[in-house]
Amino acid sequence: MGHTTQLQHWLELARRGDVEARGAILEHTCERLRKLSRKMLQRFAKVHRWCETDDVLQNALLRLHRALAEVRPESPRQFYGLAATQIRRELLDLSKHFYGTEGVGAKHHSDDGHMTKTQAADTVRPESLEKWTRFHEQVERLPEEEREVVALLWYDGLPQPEVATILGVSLATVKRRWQAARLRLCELLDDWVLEE
Amino acid sequence: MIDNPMRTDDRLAELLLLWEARWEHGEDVTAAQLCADQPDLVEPLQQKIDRLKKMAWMTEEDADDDTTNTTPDPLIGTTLLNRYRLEAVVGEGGFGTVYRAFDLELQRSVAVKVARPGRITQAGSGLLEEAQRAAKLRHPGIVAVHDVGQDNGALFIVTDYIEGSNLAELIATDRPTPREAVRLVADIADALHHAHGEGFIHRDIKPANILIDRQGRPLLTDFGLAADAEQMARGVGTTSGTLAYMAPEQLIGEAQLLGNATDIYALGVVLYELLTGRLPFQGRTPTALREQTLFRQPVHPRSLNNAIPEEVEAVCLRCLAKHPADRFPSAAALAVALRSLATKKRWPLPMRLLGLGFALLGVFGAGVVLGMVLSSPTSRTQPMIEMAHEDGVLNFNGDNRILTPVVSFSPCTLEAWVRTAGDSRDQFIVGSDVPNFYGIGLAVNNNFPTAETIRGGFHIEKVVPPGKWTHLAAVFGPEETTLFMDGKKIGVGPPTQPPTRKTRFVIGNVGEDHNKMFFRGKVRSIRISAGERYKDDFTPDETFTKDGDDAPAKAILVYGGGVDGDVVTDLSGAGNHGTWQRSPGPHQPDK
Repeated sequence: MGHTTQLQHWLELARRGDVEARGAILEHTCERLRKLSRKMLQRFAKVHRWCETDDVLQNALLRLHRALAEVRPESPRQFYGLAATQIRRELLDLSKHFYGTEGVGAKHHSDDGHMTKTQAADTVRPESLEKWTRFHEQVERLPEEEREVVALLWYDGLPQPEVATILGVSLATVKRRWQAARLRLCELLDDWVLEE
Repeated sequence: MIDNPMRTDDRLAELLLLWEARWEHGEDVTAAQLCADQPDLVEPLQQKIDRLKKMAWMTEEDADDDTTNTTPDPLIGTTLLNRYRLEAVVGEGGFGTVYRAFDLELQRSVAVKVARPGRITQAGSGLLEEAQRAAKLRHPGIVAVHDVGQDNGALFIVTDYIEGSNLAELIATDRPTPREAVRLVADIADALHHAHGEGFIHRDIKPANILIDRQGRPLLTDFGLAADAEQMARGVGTTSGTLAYMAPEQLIGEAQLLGNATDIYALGVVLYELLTGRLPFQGRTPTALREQTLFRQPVHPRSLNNAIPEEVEAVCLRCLAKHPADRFPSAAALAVALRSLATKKRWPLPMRLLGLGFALLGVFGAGVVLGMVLSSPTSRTQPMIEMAHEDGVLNFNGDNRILTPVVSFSPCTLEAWVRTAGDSRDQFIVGSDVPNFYGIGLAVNNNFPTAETIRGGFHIEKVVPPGKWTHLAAVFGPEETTLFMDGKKIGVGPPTQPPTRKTRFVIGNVGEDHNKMFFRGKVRSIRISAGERYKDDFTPDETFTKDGDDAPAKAILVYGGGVDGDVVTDLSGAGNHGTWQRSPGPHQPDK
């Protein structure tokens, strides 16, 4: 059974009140969130700890559980849209929590310089939690079609063909929107480099 | 045809897809190769290709995770000197990597710090000797060093494995009350005094070097590991976190002035941070921080947190004196001073209550007493008793809130006169009651004014000064959302979408058990208006009252003065009276 078909099956079970099905559909999303939050936190030695990412996970689970109870998505598309939104907001909360003059992240910003060495010179990946915050906020502002593709591909980590199926568009369209979104986000990240 | 911009864009998009397909197969073709027959496209295409390459991190599927997680640290699983089996990385520091390890000889868990390559040559063998000397320190408040050695050229240090966290994490997640802070620092000062007596200066005291065990006891770690003074002053072997705790004499490399008082200064910074939640100096660059440490006076802690007694503030500021001779003569003297304050019976409660003319735990004759919050894991940093009203001022302690009858809507204007307690967390002032979702809302996050616009949120990096009355306003419009501070337009964000969830506006706390979005501080006057009240800079009214006919927007809710029991009177004339709620219970969106 393909992932999407499997999910559709779970969603139906969940709507009929099957608690296990709800757990199963959360699993994938949470693994995704765990990876993304680790990406954000790995530059901060003091917060780069399993317990921190697990805290995030707990919160996300809670959010998703509540959201699922309230929204009851009918299709994988609705579900993944919901999941991506929850992930993004949890990441935003997380970076707000750690970033700032009082946050631990701020004080370990450069972390002795040794973490930043891992950054290749020719990429514009967000380096600080502040920039991650802004990155996630900018994703939120992308045109809807592009945002949806970023949500499914990047936040939810689905393969492109599956995203095409979920959205009911061609694979080429998915690829085109994905490129457009990255180009738009890059312009923005470039501006940050200039600001520095 | 070529001039047609649509066509050009389409062709570019097609070429870009082609490029990416080949890129995914490991080929890096240039724009010139791709569109040899369309020279006009070479430049824009190459530009886009370069951008996509810069964004490659978004397509490298979790490569970073794979390197951090599936390629473990090469030392994991190895055994140092046939005795210490390294099991997991538990931290990173200026010195090197910290591992949890198993001592095969004594059959117990230990922590092993392995110096970063280069560290040993940098510091020479002096570091090894110093660490060996520090290994002799024994005190219940100092993490015991069991072994120091070298394996394969790498210097390593074996210490007790402390299960728990460190003070940096504690400050970030669950900052202790002023009283607990005073006790903690007194304990650390004791340990420090012992070390000083043995002839050690720590030189790198900071929250990350103060571990907290499962019983909540502080333990100093990393004695003898600090880089030497000159190196620290140059920033070698230090993190940006370290700089903030360095005494003036350390910053200017005055080796002859380095002494016990240098550690007392650092401990003063730790105390300051525990009391206020922020560092005494806020310089964003090392240069600015140095300049402030050397020449400026820190903001008085009481102006950031009025729950700090004057005597505690005085102790803290004395630790932070610029000249070592002006600080406490010894860590023991500091410990004694702090402990005498910590054991005072009427502290810190009397600070609030006496000022209000109430007897401690007596009968409260006037006002509405809310939130008899007894110590619990979530509320232990809150005062035990909080007055909800005080001369018409609304007091929010994080556990109370006001539920209004107004269902959230846009366009609207939310504004309030607030005095924040300087909390670094999300401070929710007023907005829709939608925990876990964006609503319409006005907040202060990390001391920055913040607005939520249904689809998202934005903040403006202007600090809302803690402890000072500040007027904040957010205008939520269909074209844009604007934030004002003290009548000045400070920033514009995206338009506010119409709310999708039908919930009421609340003040001071969002949702059930939602410990992320609440307000701690005072609100003097708060107003909700229908429509966009402000377009440009304005002079805010000192208190809000009923609107005249010529008002640019219609006030539909004004709180600030009248209170009748748990009911907060609406002064706008619209009859939208609110209700005080304690520790908000389950609240479902209205149907």
